[in-house]
Amino acid sequence: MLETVVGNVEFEEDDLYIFPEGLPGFEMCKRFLLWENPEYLPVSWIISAEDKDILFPLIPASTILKDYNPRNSHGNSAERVMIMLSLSQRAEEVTADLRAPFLLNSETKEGRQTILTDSKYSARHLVKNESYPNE
Amino acid sequence: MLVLTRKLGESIQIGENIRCTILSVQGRSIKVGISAPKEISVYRSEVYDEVVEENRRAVEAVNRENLKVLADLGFKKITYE
Repeated sequence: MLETVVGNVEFEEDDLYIFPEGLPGFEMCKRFLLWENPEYLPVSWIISAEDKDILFPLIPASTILKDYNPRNSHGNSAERVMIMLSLSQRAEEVTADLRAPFLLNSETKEGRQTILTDSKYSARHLVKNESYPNE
Repeated sequence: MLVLTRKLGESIQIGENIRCTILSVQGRSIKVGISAPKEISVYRSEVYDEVVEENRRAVEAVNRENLKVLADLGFKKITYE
């Protein structure tokens, strides 16, 4: 079990996503858990199995942009396209990194963060302006 | 750092599968061709470094104080599958 700032996380080895290339900035971390806490949905958390302090929120790309379709994606239906959020104390300052999406394949349990060289996507996309209103 | 001098058209082999070739030299710009297996990511260093910075920023921003903001983002609850 991992005691993290977002909750106590139980997992089994089979649950982990393997990032063969690691994560830019955290290249030593290759095993990650995608953890969903109902309290935070649609935000889920990617947590390093090697270091519980290395975690951050991910959100389905479709939650932020309807037509977001990174070319590097294999277009596999088992592959989720997730976007990393940088939190802040104010909602207006929370940003999403549209330039470096996460591709998580739930069948192969392989994950990677890819970098889009298409400059139309911002690394610090302001989330508050684009998100759908609460229903 | 290993330093190698190469002439136009010459290349450098890295491991078994990666080859970098000097394609052209014009003033201060050098065009490098890179052949690598598709599972090897190749990026301009400054692009990669920016992602490193954003990832570190995102990790540092996860703390109890900032978690409260999630309720204010107005995300529609969605379910998978």
